[in-house]
Amino acid sequence: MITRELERVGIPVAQVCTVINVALESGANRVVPSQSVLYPTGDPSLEAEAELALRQNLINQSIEAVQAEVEEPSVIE
Amino acid sequence: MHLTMHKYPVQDIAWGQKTGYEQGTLTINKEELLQSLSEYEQRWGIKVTALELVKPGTSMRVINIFDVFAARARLGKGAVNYPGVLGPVSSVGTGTTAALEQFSVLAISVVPDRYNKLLDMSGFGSELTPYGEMHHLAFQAEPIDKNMKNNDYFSALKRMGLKIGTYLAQAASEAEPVQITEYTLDPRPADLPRAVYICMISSHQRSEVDEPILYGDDVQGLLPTILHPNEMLDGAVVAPYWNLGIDTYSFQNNPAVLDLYKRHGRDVDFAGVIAYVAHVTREKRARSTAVITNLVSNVLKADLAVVSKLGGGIPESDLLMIIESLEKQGVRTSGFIWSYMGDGTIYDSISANSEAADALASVGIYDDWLDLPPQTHVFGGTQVGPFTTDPNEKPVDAHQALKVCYRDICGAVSQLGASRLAMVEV
Amino acid sequence: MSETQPVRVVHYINQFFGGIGGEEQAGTPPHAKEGSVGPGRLLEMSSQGKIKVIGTVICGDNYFVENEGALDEVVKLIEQFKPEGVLAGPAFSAGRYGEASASVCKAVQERLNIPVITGLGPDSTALETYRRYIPIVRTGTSAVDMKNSMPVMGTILYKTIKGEALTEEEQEKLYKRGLKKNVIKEKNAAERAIEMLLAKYRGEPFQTEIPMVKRETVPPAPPVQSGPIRLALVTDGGLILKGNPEGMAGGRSKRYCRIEIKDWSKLSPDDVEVNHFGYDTRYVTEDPNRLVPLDAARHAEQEGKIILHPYIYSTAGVATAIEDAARIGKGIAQELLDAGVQAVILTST
Repeated sequence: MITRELERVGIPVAQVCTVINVALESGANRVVPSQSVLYPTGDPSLEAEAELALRQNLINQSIEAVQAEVEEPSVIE
Repeated sequence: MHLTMHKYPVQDIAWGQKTGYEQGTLTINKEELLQSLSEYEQRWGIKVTALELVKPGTSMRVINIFDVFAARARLGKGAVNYPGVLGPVSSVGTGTTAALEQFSVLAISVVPDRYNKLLDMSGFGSELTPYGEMHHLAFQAEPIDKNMKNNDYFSALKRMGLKIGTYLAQAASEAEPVQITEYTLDPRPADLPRAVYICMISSHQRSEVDEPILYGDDVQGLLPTILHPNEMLDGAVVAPYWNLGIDTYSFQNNPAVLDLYKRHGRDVDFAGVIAYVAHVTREKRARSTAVITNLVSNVLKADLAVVSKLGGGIPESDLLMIIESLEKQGVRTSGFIWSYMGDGTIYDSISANSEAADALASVGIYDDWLDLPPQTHVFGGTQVGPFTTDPNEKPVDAHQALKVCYRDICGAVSQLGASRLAMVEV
Repeated sequence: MSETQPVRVVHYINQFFGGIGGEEQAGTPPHAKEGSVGPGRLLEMSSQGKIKVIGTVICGDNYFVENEGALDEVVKLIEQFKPEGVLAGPAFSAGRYGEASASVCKAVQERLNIPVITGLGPDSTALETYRRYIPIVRTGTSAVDMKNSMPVMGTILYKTIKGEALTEEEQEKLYKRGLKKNVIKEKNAAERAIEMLLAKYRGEPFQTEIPMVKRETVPPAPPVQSGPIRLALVTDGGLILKGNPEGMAGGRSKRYCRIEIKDWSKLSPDDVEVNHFGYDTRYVTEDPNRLVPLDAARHAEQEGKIILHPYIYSTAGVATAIEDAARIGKGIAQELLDAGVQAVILTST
């Protein structure tokens, strides 16, 4: 819902989430899939360094997502 | 599998000299019961501090209910009750089981938790739940060691509740059963549509390692698995700690299993139960849906599937993904699911949407409010609440009139479909 | 005598139906005229003397949606006539006009406590928001339907003012309110679901108890060009300041909070925590960067890809009513727009 309002005023949103069907349903246009609802931008099973790398990767994907031309709700991996 | 259930319908309960069942009355010798539990109190690290007989139509409110258990005992030499939980791992669903009917054991937790339930035995609240019409033995148990971890305490409460149930049913089994019901799928009917029940048994949105759920397993990494319906009826599944409108009693008396059994040979060929869990990672969730689809359409070769879930959010989305996937394979589906108040309209009722899910029954709006009248007697504590998320609200005296949500009432909003509560459009 | 006295009604219309002009006059501010204008005459005529339009309030479509005070102005103008009821539109499927007509009716009903009615087409965007508050007559999608819908609206408004019961046919002309409640049914939910399943299999009629709704979609915002992007981090995962000084709820949220991050290179459990009752928050509490990736975002900042907005916006997105969620979203959107933020990374649980 927040995403929808942001997109409505022209601010592109990279929505990092796991429950993709709900996100696409609720007005997200650029969905970046994450691993788990319990830790959208992390993974407790990883070493700190690897976990940070995972996060950086998600950030980079998200930056690409808000720069991407999309016609309809899309999953950007 | 062939399960013979010896049923003892309970119409009254009383304390007395001899624990047993006679002409509809369950009599319990309190001292003997406590005595029989003392060994387990030591083993599990909790002490039973209070017992209460709870009867329908009385001005009684039971609070802090953690779980509800059917009183069952598997009979015969070598029969293990709740394998993996109370005894060594083996399977259930075959043999003879004594069952106290219209009766449950209520486990009262001393750990305050907003997911604990309350049960009124008179007034409006009692009409909303099947438990309002039943007799119960409620027990409260406290950790012996004050530093006991919550998880160990919860596990011990589950075991104690199951244990008390087996003790009572065992005693009742000395009487002649009032009714005998046979549960078997054989012979398989020909030319009827094959139906499965797809039952979520845990959501890992909130779960614990070592939680005894499926034959004592914590189902942390569970891939969907096929159960014979008798296994569910005979104690293979214990409800998770997180009580979001589920309880062990409703697995043991699972309404979908019982209804499909009733229709077996008449309307359907009941092909089995699939137990699954809500995983929290994308890959595991996708894997669950894929495996379920395959089990239903290619292994069990079912034509019909009814799906349920527990928890909220992700499980809702899981249920819809399963329905979509099965419908694509030509399996006709329905489900039952709770809903929330949202903006107050029928259209804002669940968190996910799928056009494939065109046959959903409602188990009620869980966060709608209702008023409960005061009750004279309270068991399970002295104060209840707060029932809102307002941090300024304080617990109140449990006897008084209360404003609660439907989900706060034990058994009213049943994600296993056991209550008659439903959302309707007005 | 009182039997034949017409009811005194005010009619709300936009600049187009008010005869002022089309889109070029959409900025017209609210003003009142004595008596009926345009479709108001049809209303009076078709009522056969039962309705007297004592005044007409006209407001431009753009003025209404762009000016926060427009609704108050309109209601004040209506109030001056001391009417017994208000009829707005019908607006058919028009977006801004529909919103205006419905919100005027809602406000009049609440503040003046008199009967109201409007008419909207089935695809009107205002319908879902307002149907539960006010009676709305089902109209066609365009003014071609005026001659059909206006008399119906008039009859229903007249009867409501007079306290007369509506016929079944009239009831059906109104949209269902779409509200819901809990009831006790004959059979339990599992049995009802299996009954439905068999009906579906056999091709017999059945009715789902939980209707599925296609949600409104918003066309994607245009992408931002490269070069350091002014970017904000937002979450619905319930991030709050340590100790929850703002008293944020863990769900059923009514508001959002702003967490200042300009001095932080990452999120630390010493500064922030998580309050959200929809999931197990232990992992994100242990390391809040697992919920809002501030540490990684700072890296991207150093690489010159982004310039981070100095606040994280947060709410707990569980069991939040659509309206509240929309309001929260609008609030955040406005703040970010004002601050010149170009893009958002929203992490969701």
